[in-house]
Amino acid sequence: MNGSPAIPTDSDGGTQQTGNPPVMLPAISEVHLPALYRPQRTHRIDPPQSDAIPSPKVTPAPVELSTDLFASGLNGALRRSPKIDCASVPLLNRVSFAARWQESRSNVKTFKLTFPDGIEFLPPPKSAEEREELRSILPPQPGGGSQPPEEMQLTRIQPPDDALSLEDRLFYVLQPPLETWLAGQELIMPFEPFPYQYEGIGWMFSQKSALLADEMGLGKTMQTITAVRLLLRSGQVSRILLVCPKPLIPNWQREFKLWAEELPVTTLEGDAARRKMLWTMPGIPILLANYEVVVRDFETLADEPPKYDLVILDEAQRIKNRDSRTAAMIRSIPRRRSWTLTGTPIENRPEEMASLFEFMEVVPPRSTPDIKRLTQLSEHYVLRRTKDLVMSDLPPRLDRDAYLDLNPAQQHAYQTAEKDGVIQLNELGESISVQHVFELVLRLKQITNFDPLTGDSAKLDRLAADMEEISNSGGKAILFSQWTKCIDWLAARLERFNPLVYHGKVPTKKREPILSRFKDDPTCPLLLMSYGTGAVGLNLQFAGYVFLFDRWWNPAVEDQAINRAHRVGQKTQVIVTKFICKNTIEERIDRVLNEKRRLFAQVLGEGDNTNVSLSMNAAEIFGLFDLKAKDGNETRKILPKAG
Amino acid sequence: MTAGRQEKIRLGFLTAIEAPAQGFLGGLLVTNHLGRPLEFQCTSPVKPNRTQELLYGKTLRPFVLAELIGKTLLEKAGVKPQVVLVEQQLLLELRNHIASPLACVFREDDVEQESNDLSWGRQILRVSVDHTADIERLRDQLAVLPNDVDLFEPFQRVDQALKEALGSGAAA
Repeated sequence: MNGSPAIPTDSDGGTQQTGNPPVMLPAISEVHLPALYRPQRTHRIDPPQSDAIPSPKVTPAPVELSTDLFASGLNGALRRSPKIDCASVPLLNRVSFAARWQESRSNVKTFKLTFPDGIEFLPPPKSAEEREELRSILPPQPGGGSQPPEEMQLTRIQPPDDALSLEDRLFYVLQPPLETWLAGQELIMPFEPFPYQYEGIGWMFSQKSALLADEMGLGKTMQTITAVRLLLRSGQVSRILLVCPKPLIPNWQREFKLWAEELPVTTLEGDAARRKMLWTMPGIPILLANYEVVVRDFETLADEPPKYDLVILDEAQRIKNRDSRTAAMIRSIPRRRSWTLTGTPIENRPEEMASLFEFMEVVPPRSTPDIKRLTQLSEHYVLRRTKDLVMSDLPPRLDRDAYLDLNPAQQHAYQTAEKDGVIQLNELGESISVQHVFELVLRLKQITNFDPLTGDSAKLDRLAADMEEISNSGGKAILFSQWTKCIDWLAARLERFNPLVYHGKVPTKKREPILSRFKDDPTCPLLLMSYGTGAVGLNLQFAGYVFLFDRWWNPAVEDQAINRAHRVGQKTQVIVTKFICKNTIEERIDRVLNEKRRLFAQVLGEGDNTNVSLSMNAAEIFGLFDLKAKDGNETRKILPKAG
Repeated sequence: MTAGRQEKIRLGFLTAIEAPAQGFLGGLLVTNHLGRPLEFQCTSPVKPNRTQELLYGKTLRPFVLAELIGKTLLEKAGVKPQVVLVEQQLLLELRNHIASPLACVFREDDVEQESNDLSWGRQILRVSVDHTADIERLRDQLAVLPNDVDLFEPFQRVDQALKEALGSGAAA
């Protein structure tokens, strides 16, 4: 292998990698390795013969190895036989990839919610003319007039707080806005609901347990009927029981006809056999029944009571006493949803709410939630709105309590009457009744209006002064009193204001002309009315002033009276003046009624001013005086007899 | 009173949202002609990996929204919509994978009406350029809808439902 470069090797015969100088094998002698040391196989790579693949340039590998040794032969390592392995390496004839990626479609998981079938009540309109007959309802807009759809404020149904599963929550989220639902395409509405009514309908629709406690006159009935309509329409319920006091049955029938004429309402009436048939008959979507019948019939149906998707209790304070038979029987009705309607969920004690909540199944049976807990529950399950809150376009009502000192003659008469009266009551001892106390209260109240002997009246003096101003400014005022005698007495003393009198002793035929004259005659700025006759059903929104000459027992009646003037259509603020004589029975009554209002607001939130059940009870009337009976040498506080 | 449904047409409202951490989430609401819901379906979040992001480039979003999400939702729908409406133009690509006519809804003020567009109230419906014949089908099938119908409103419901699903983690 002359001319070939010598291959330096290490002691193992491998390629020398050390830093030693390469061993140069001088060409002194050429030693041919014996055959033993020769590779067993020699490879000769010949140029490829095929023409298909271009021939690479290949240098043939040496097939024989020769080793040059130093002449001295001292390097023993060179005596070792080199190990040489040969392996065949195929030539690459294609390019391989370092990484590989292939498109594959991911498996996307899905979640499905199918909505239940609703009930179709009315076939869709068949002709264009028929469609035009249906008036499209838009919610009232603040600026008046309708607005383009995208600017319309929509009422979306929110999932209730107690809806935890995704299915439940999505059911509500995916419902169309109420305005489009009620827009005359599917459900015909006779009148356009107010925004707060849309809110109430949406709230009830999503609640399994609900107490609608709106102020009287805000449309609890209409909201309930419409929510029921939507529930039936969306397939959420198919069997509803509505329980109300017997006198209200015709009212519900009328309201259903007005607001949902397509809903078949069946009234539970007739003999026991017929009622049993109605209880058990399938296909009755809405069954209307009174409390007494429900209680009576459910005792006989106890073995197999009918089941309902929704039970609604109107005037639900009927079950405020949870131990009563009515409450127990009503609670036993199998149901999935429980709604209660009342303007007075608390009549005397906050605990009364607990009974309603027990029916609504939001508190455990027999539990006694404290005020804090009741307040928390109210936030979730009670919806209460007052006119003050929802009718923001109504001009404000300004209440002025006029605290007056009695005139000297009045003061003397009052003190005498009170002293004598209390003595007489104390002498009655155990035989005293609320009627006795009541008579004294009336006598004292009359004296605060005017002294019967002298005719002195602090209230009259103040009223006359105010009327001068009102009359001069062209205003109109209404005055309310409990007594027709007082009204007549005032009319005689306020002749210069040309007052008009309207009370129960005025013949019915003459009443309407009196109201017309008050409205149209600028020389008649004052209308004197009794609570009993004038408090209900009159529209006197052109009067800007209301005087409560004496206080009624119940602020609800007072508010009804005030609402003759403070109602829809009123253009200016209404100034309400309540006359309260200092250090008299009037102050004490006012305190009791205010305490009741405060208690109500504490549980249900701000504002109730027409709560018909805030009347004073017997204990509170007794409490107006410090009545004590002699019991031997000691005295004992007199309280009304139980029951 | 008659029981059962009286739908004149079943509309599918398909939309998708992107959650920064979880990826794309699609929802399909099928309603009757009055907007009342019949069926809702949503996907689990779909998050493309880095390789897909690199290799698909600009075509990634149409691929994920239309082929992965939209096609899956329509394939799995129990109540099949007769018309599919979308509010993202990228989803027009889905029309290549389904048989139903599909249109993207625009507000009248947001786009210039083109020759192949269909005007519906204050909205414009645009179809895929490869399926312009859909316009006539849409015109026929949507005839039962009132002119003042708000075709965007159901998308708001789907959007809200997708957020609920995302928040609940049920779709994950």
